[in-house]
Amino acid sequence: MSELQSKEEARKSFDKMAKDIVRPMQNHFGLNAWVFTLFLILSLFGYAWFLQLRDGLGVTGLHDYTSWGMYIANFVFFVAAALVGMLITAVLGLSGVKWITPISRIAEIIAVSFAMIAGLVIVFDMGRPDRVLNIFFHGRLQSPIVWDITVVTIYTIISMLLLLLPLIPDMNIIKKRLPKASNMQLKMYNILSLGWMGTPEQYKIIHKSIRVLSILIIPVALAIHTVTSWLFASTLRHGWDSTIFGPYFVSGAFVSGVAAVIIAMYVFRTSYKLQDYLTDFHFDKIAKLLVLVSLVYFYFNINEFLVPAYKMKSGDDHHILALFVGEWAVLFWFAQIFGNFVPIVLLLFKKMRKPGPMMIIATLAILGAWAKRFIIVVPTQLNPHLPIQNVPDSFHVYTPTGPEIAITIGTIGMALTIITILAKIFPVIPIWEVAEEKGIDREIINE
Amino acid sequence: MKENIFKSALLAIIVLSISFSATAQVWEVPSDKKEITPAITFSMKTKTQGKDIYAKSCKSCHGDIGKANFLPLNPAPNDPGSERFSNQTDGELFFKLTEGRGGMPAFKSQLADNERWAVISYIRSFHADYKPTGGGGEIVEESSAFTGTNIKLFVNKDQVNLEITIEVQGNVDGKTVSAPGVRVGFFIERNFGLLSVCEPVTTNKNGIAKAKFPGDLPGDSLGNYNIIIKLIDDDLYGNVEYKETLSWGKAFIYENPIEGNHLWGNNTSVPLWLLISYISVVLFVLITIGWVVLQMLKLKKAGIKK
Ligand code: HEC
Repeated sequence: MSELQSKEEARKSFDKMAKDIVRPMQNHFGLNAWVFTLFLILSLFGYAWFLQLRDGLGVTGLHDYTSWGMYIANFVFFVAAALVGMLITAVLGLSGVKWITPISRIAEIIAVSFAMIAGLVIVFDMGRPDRVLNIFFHGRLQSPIVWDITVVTIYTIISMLLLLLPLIPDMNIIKKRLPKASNMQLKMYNILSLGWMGTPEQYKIIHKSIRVLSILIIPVALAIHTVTSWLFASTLRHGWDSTIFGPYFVSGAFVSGVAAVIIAMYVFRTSYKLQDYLTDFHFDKIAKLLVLVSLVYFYFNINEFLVPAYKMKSGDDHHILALFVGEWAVLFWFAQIFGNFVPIVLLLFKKMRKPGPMMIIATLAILGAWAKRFIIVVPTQLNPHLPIQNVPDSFHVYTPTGPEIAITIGTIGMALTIITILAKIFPVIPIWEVAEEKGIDREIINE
Repeated sequence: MKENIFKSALLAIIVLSISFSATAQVWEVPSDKKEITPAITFSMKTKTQGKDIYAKSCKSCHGDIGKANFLPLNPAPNDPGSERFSNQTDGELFFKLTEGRGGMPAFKSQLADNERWAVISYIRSFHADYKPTGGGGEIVEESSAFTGTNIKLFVNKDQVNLEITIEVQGNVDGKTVSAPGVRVGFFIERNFGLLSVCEPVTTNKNGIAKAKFPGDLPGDSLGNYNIIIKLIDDDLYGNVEYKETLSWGKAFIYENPIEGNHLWGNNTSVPLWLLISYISVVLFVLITIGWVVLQMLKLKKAGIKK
């Protein structure tokens, strides 16, 4: 009798949970305003891109010396933040950390959207996007650019799989709980559920597959950002000619990725009313994670700047002084202080490890991270080994133009659009995994 | 405009400093140094060598010899063609040039002994009454450089010793004579210009100049290189030159650094290790992904079975 009762209770609590998580997928309060904003951003992007396609890269601030500008900085930023999928699902998941369960899907959604957009940004950086195909016809295997394209593509595929696989049982759960869903949508859920019935064999298969992918994604994710760093480090330029660029980029990537997840958590928690599932406990934990990765990043920052600054090799000295006290100082210190230092110091206080303050800290960290990518990409090119001479005055500086900024913001808008869509058609919290953790019977989950 | 102000200011300073200063002090040379005689035999060759050194190291202050266009310094450098120089012994000139004083730099570390003597030999060629104190070499005067026209080169090759003897002849008063005192340059054509085989050689009394070619210079794949022999003073004689392809060099097979499989090669010449690494890593990852996709199909089947 009591067993039945407790079973009934479990069923109820599972039902409530599933409802809570599924509800925002059909309750579109405030969605119109948000979609309109995205639409505006994307229209602006469309116009700017049209200008760039029509008139060429001349509409940007790029020139012979600074041929990698805001676009590439933005690319590095997206690649960096995409790494968080690997950190959360793979590194923490495989080591049995439990608190990441409700967060893992958010991390995967960010990974998928950011990795996809990272690839697209490269296309927008090209005056002739059609020539992107040349990479397949004429790409040199010796070039890190080819390796980068390979790993970004593979990372996107694995991230998609890591998003889809844990969705399979959830598809089965939600298709019964979405009364307003269209036929098309239900059909999609049906297909994606892959005939999930919750048999032990199916459980075994899905766990094994997720496990294998989680292991596989670790080297692939390390590779994607290490190779991205090699695009710079395999040259001899001041500021790029560094042996620690690989781990330096990876450590920085974790900071921006975790910050991005915190922002997403906050937004979903408030707008989707998921306070019961993304609790203060989860925020506290991920805040500590942010401190940890920021400390690692801090360590790398010291290595990356203190050692060359101590030596002040001629040539490097210009670069370092320009960053520390010269024309880049404001951006540089903004990036270092808000993108690295502030998260460490503030999040040590328990009061700061609450959703509200963390949202602000994470936003600053993201801005700092973006600025840092700009600092990595641009100043080096304006400090070449041979003096910049016999060129127009404007070649001595790099100033992004309106269309360039609009396209960059547009790519951010695209990433947000993808996240919005994914978060509308899929539950942002893995229902079955959370339920299982709560000890709810598989039978109930798969009913 | 700015330059003019600057120039007149400079001039003013110079003029002022000259008028304020006492007459230049006498430059005493220790008597033992005065007696030193040239360590080389003055010749046409030392003179031309000296001419080049003078143009490089002295002319900026001392001006063109005989034209008294030296810099207005105090004390003045003076014109080396003047009596002030010609009245001094070889030893005196050598000492002053070696040790320097005030505005006159010391050349002891910049020019070797022989080079310093060579400059003096050039300066001496302007002193009409000069009697050589050293080995008694002949000096062909500037004005006595060969003046004939219709200069011709006759080339004689010594295949064994890789030596080329050249005879220069020209027309003087309608007669063909051998041309002495003509500077001849021996060159080998390289990709970016001419390589001098030796310092320019001046023809002797019989119009003969000789040069030995090195045997170890890389030629083309057969050891061929092009030699060019020409008169240096083409302002006097016009462009007189002789060209020939000789197989005196070492055979050199050029290896294009781009060819072969290198990191810096093109997309068709990937180093094997890179190709293998890339393909095996990518294949491994793709196979694993493929395996996962298969698992998903299996998952579906497992559902249907039930
Ligand atoms: C920077 C300018 C400068 C250069 C270059 C220079 N000289 Fe002089 N030279 C002087 C000056 C000034 C004096 C006069 C020094 C004095 O009387 O104190 C002088 C004096 C001399 C004297 C002594 C003249 C005398 O009145 O007794 C000789 C000889 C001489 N230079 C030879 C040379 C030779 C040869 C060279 C090139 C290898 C040369 N100088 C290069 C400035 C120069």
